[in-house]
Amino acid sequence: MPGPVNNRPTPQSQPIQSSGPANNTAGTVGAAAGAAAAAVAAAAAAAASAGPSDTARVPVAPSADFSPASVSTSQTDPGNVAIMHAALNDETAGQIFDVLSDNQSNDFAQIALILKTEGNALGEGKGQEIFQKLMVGKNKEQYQAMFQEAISAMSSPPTAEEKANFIQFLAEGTVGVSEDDPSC
Amino acid sequence: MSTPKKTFVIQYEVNDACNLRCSHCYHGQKVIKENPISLKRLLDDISGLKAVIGEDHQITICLSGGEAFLRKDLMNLAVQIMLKGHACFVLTNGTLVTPDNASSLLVRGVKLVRISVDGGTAELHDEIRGKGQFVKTLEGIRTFHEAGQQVSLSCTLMRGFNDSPEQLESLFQLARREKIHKLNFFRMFAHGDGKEMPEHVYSEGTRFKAVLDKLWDLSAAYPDVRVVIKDPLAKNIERALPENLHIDVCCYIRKNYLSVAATGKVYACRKLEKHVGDLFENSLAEIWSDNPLLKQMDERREYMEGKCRTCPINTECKGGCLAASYGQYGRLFVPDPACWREEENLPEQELVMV
Repeated sequence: MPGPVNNRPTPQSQPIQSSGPANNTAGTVGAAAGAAAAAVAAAAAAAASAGPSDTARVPVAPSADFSPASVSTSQTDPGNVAIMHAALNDETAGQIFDVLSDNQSNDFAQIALILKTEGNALGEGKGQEIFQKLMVGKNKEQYQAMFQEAISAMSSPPTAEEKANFIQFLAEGTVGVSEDDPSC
Repeated sequence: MSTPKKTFVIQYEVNDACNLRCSHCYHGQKVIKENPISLKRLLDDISGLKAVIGEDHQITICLSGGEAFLRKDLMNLAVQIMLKGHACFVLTNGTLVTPDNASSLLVRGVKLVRISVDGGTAELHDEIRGKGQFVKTLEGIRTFHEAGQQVSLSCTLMRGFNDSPEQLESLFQLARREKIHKLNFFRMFAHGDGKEMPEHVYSEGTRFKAVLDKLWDLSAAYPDVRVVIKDPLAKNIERALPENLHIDVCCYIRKNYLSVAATGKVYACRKLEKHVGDLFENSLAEIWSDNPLLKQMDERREYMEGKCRTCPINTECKGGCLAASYGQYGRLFVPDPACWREEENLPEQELVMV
């Protein structure tokens, strides 16, 4: 039986590196997507009430070596995620997939229009609501980045598994079960 | 309508770099900024593993570190996992969370994060993690919540450090106050930096049983707090379970879990400092099927020594936690050092041979 390694009397904190500003660039939203989004966002502005993105960030990174994962400069809107995923059905999600995978266009204007049209079938005003979330809402950059990342990460051409999983994800907001955390 | 699938968890350490230096960390040295086993390689391996364990398993990938939020491509990792149809959750210290990356994770299908805390007060938590970290962690919890993310907490129980009744209750108060999804309890082992704190390891049973009893009491007193004890010895508490208290299936060894460390080594349990394979040499499927140590640990009842051989509940706890035994004695298959059941106290008629 090995003996104690060290008789350190109490838990001791190690020096913490000083904080610095977090990485403040989007990085994951491509230029094409950004341009498309900006164009449509402008067109939709009359119908939208959402304000500009908030660029405020929390300074967190302790050093240049330790800058955290960062996606965009937009502000949080927890309602966006639930509304969008709840509203999408498989057919709508499939159409979006076709736009993205067939054209490789990152045409979020087209995506938003599909959502607007199809979403209205789910309830009065739902399509417009989804449209606003994707194109104007405070999480729009994150949705668009997610779409683009997913397409980029797919095989070429996408496998049936990838397509099915992505459609399920768009429709339901998740795949598999992650409600619990059965791990050590 | 598809039938529910069995969950199989792959813990993938995306790095072992960390912005904190917790004094009990099982990682020890922290230098690897990116796991040399890419996620793509891992996902390919998981496909092979599913062929072995059965397609009726739903894979859940747990992204951990080090500190997962130090991986700048963390969001892309989540997308890759989503495209494979796997569920995903993240273990983090919560201090690098921003409104952006919190909601970005959610947009990518990550519905749960688990944040480590070492106490319900700044005094305790900061003693382990550094001054000011409790406040940062609280901010992280709230940021996740504002983004719509579920947050669970993990607390490592340390003998004589954070396990007094008052200290334990402070965790329940924290969980209630912050509307925590689940409050998980683990036990500290002599593993990694934990080896240098033997005074905080449960090396005898009386104290640990008292702690577990207190967790029972607190669970009953805080029925709105969902509590999970991840320890096989908790199965030996002969008390009715409050509705909000769950004893996890722990041990996971060769049941529904593998961990891929930031070195590429594969562990049957990440708290057990003995690996069962290396992805530079073998695939996950090969390790799962062929590794002799993994098989031996799965069939541990044949190998257990001492009081565990004749204990009437050895079918339940299987000798307790192998990670605890290995950390304490450097040996597997010996009784868990925190087990309070004594051989001489076992009723004669209950003795069974394994």
